[in-house]
Amino acid sequence: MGYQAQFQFLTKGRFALVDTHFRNIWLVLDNQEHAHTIRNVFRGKLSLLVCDLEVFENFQDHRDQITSHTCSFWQLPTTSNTILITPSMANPIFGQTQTKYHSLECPNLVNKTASCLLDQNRQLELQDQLLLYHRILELVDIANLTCANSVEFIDQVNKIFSIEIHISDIVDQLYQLTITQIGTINVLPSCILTTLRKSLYE
Amino acid sequence: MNNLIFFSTNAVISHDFDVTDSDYQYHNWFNLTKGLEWPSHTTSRVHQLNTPWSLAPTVCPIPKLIHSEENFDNVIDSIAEKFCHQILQSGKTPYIAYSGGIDSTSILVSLLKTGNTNFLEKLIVLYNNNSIKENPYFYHRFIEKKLQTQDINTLNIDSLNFDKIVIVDGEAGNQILGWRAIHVHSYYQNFDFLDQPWRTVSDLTTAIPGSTAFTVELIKDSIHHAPIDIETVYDFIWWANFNFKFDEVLIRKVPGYAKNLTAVQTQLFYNHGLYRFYAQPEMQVWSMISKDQRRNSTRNVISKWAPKNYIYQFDGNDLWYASKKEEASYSGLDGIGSKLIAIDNQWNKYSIADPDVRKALGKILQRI
Repeated sequence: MGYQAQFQFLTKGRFALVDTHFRNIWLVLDNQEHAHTIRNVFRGKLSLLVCDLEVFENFQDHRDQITSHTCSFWQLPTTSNTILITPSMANPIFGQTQTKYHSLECPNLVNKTASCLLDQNRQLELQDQLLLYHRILELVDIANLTCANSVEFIDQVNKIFSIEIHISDIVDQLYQLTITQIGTINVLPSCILTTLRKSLYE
Repeated sequence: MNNLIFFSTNAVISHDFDVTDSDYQYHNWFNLTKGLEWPSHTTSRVHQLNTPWSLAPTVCPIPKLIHSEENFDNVIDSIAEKFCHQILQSGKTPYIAYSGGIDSTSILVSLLKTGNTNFLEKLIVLYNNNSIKENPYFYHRFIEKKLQTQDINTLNIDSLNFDKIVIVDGEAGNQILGWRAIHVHSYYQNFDFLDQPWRTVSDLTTAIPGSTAFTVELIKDSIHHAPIDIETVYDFIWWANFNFKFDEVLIRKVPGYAKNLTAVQTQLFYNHGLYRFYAQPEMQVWSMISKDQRRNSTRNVISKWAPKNYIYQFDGNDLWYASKKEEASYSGLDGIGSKLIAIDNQWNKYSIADPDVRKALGKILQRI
């Protein structure tokens, strides 16, 4: 049975999370900081670059068409910068937004599905993880919390997303963590419960 | 400064950039490192190079073809079994330098599969924050609160403990399993080129980005002495790495490990205190006899599929299996740096800070 997407929120933007080898776009966002946070938290599950899509000549023409729902049908052209091909934690270039993505022949984004070693269901599930985490980052921004409890809570949320590889485990653990913080931390826990489609009253 | 097991051309260049000038008589040796990931210390494991400096024989000769086992899992399991047995007999404390990358993770998996309770209670995992970031799933499932751990930056090897410990690390994994030049061709989908007989390629400098005609000549000379047939461009690239880079990767971290040891103690530590899974004769033979299966796999999966599959069978993490790339992992150990010019076969170190070393070097390189 196929995976039923649960968190297919619509996102758009110029900042793309792109697989370093196959060059397929996993997510597009308008918040550069969130793109880097996602890249870091998902470091053990995906090998990603944050790329500024503005460097591609056809991006403006397709800007509204490339969303979280469609970005997997797009890929970047090959780069002539061999440093970008093999990621390295020791190389600070991978922590930066790629604004000079030197293409070999094609200066355009390519409307083509790239190879991936995961089947379609697993790709969809993984994108669900990315979108759920992105939504939580947005909620954190809105809640604008500064108390020590909230910092610890957000660290625990990050840990769940970095360690767990299945969306069901992530949702279960997020629920278990969040329910303990209701009434302790303002707003954010109940917003996360709503996002998870869990009841505050259960 | 004779019988050198390590001579850093990069260290020399960092103090005397003119050695790369085409007018300088030995410039070819100093321009080798323009090739993608070519070692700073160049030595051939199968023939004597005509370097201006005096090289000792390789620290790791290529073994004879002692087995025909093509299954990676069986090879690494057998090495782990042998290692665990030796450790329990010796009474030494085993450490594993765990970076979270493919090579050291595959070794840790083999120890977790093979080691008995007694062994695993003694094993200490050396790690740092980057080790956790590379593979958080593995760290939290199989290491944290299950094995003894120690921050690698707190490891102190001195005269009191150097002969009581054994450190396992993933060095030479890249030489056994692939190389960045192969990964780059795979990225550009140059699979037909990798399959092509190397003797039919008009310009072999395209095989290793940045390499020179001199690099190609060195590799071709060494192929005459190779114990197996080097046929395809893939073989040519793999062989260059397997033959010319092995010594450097085995030596490069030793000065960091042994910074508090004398030359004699360092030599003993190198010979008895370091156990390199990927340099074991069985693993080197596997690399030689499985090169065709590795070449074929470049079309479908990215590099290092054999150890990645081995890890996946153990931990079930399909996301890491699908996305993890060959990359330079960061162990946290001090690098060799630019001060250390050379090491001889008695493990005496030669630093550019020493005026006598500079004079000797000037004569060797005909700079005075």
